[in-house]
Amino acid sequence: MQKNMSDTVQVKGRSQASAQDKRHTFWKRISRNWELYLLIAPAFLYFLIFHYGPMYGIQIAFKNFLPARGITDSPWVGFDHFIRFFNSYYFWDLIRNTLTISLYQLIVGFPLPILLALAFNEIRNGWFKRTVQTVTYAPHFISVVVMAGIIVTFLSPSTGIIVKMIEWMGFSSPAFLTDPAWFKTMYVLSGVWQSTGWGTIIYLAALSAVDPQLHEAAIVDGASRWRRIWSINIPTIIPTITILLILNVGSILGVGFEKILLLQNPLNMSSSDVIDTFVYRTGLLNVQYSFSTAVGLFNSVVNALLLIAVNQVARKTSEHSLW
Amino acid sequence: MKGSFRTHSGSSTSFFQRFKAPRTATLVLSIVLGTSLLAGCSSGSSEPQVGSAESAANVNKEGFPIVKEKITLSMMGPDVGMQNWKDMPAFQEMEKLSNISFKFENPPLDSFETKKNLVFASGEYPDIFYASSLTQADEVNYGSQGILLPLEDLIDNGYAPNLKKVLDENPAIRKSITTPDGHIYSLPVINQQSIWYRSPMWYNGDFLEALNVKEADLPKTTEELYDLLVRFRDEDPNGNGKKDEIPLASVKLDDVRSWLLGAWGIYGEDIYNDANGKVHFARTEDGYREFLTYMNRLWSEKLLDHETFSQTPDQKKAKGASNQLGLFQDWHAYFTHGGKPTTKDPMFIPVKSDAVDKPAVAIHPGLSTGAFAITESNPAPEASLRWVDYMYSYDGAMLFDKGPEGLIYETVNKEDHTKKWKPLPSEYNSREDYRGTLTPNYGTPAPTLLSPDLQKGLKEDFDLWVDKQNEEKILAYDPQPPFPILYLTPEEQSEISSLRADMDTYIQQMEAKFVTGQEPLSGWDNYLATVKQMGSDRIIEIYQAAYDRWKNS
Repeated sequence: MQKNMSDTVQVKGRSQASAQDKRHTFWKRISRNWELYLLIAPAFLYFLIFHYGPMYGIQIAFKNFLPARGITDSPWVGFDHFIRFFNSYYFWDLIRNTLTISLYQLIVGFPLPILLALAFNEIRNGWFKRTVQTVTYAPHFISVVVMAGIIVTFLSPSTGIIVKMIEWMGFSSPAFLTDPAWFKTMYVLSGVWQSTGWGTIIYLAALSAVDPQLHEAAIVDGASRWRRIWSINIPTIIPTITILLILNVGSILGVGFEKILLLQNPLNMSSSDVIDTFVYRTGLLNVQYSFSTAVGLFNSVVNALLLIAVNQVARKTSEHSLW
Repeated sequence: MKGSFRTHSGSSTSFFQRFKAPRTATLVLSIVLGTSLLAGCSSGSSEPQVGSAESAANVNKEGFPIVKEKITLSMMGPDVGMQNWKDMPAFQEMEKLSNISFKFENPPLDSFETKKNLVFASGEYPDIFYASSLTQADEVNYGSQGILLPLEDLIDNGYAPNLKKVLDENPAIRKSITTPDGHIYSLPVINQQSIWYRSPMWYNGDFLEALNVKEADLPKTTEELYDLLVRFRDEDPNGNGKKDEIPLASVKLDDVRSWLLGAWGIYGEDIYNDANGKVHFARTEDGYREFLTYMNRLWSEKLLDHETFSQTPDQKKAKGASNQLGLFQDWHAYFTHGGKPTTKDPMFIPVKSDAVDKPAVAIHPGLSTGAFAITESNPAPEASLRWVDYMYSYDGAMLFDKGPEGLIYETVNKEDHTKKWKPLPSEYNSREDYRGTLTPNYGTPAPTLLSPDLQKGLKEDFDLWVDKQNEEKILAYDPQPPFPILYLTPEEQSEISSLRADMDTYIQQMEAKFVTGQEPLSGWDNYLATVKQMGSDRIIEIYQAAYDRWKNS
């Protein structure tokens, strides 16, 4: 009995000591590396304040937001806004447009920077390489509003330079701006023109990590240039590709809103209206904040689920994943 | 990645704007006001108390200055891009008179609506909304929540003698600016002479001259209009040897719709009432279907601009400046053509179809609501109201219509208000350009009473010509306002808002499709069924009830 007691006491004492130890080491770890924690603090605070803080406002998706009562005191309505959205006339159109534009963009826009980066990597002439890179980066710096203006001007049926060129070659030009069938192509291809060059940067960085000895050894073994790209360069950047693909899929319901809004008109609406433009219209223009927050929340939840799912798949099939 | 950061932007903005501390000077007062308003609302029986003994004590009920001790208030209004409000002589003069100065917040007119909505959601309001085009929905919603102050007690208690006089003489105006709960949340623009419900359409005078069409021979039926548009298209009226004429110009049809709908007896493009007091929704009427058929015919024969649904108003104006447009809408034709005011371009004569005996022509109701409002954060409602009341007197209206005396005009006879123009400074193209730098009441619905006296002696040949065009082409057609100015209850308003969100998109989209032929007109029945399913009948029902309530009040 006594022995037992002393045992328990001992055990208790040990566990207390270990908890103290843990706390102790935690603070010790922090104080030992305080410079690193200081370094990360601004980023940590940024996310806390600007990305987690605002989530407090999400609750208005389940409320009837009245500005005078504020976020906290507005009355609860449960899932009413979600039900209204799911029953809305445009629900399926919005989902379809958002998905097809995103997938189209992903399928066309995702591989191109990879190909371009592999090509850049093969250029040996420094001057030529720099020039081509600068030329392909340049469109990235055009703002969305100007970009939309350029698209509309170039594709205008009466004065557009592209339309004139098509007509000059003897074809009749499609109504790019107003034909719903052309909207997605116009959107995706102009995006490719604008962002492919910029997208190569991250792959070029990854390619610079290739060990030159591998190439030397391969050349000695008589490997052709194609062979080396296929067997050395691509495997090196596969982790980068996987991570970027996961991130891209994670934002599949979040297509670039400004450009779509600026290119939208009543005629192409049937293929250009996406969740984000719908949120803008109902939220900011028709002042239905709660409803549009509900739609935005739905969008984010779907995105988060997709991100998790794709990450899961990537982890199962390869060793690369976000977490 | 970019997209995922943006999804909650709506809620994050409002959160952070709430988070900012309100200006400490007004904090205490707004809390006091806010709680007293809330108390007023919750108890139901007692009316909300506006203002306080303290803020009232500083105000002179008569004459200038309005306040004994100088105060500064914040004011929100649209910037039309002519001049900073703080540099406008009208405000500077008014500050000297009244002892009230302002801190201005002026988002550009283009994005004003969005900005205004955000301000309401943010919880931090300007003290005064000036020329902010508050919609009736805004007034009902934010008024019932206590964000906009009810003004009727202050008006009746002697803080707005000029306005009170107008309201007492015209009970109809008072009726039109009072919401169903009996409050007045906004002050109107009163202009009993105003005629245009929408800016008129104008024919290109050069085209008519080239085709030898006299003003008396202008089209009076839809078929004659069609024939003339064909001639615009085929006979090269701009004489440049190219077939680049655009017979009928439009941007999304919003500019021409209400004028052409009249040909099928429809007074307004949205909700309107007929002579028997029955409320109609234009977009489900048979006449609207005829209109679509007609516009589709114009489209398929290239008489209606094929860029109608994709161009911006600026692009349309550029075509007008290069003399390509035959018939177009603008405030004045020379705004589109460029150059000086001219009497060469005649106004469109309302046309009629075979379906009706005479065209339906809309006229402005002479009143626009939502021009001025005071918010709960305003520390001096009495002084603010006295300030705006000056705009409803001849002197105040003159100050804010044309700027202080001696700049753009000078008085010839003080007794009968005759004035004359001063020479235009050389840096300005036209008097209107100059006027836009003097006063905020330029291109914005500002609170004022525009009486005929304001223009006395200032009317030039062009203005008289426009008056005559109005006389012959609008007033002669027995016009009526499409729908009286009336308010819905907050419940009705919120039902309408949620019903209309999808319906308006659908209607706009289908109109474009029907006109351009993407959807054949055989799809009309389907369209009608869809709109009805979206609740168009309920909308008519709500407005009918509101109309009956208004009529019997």
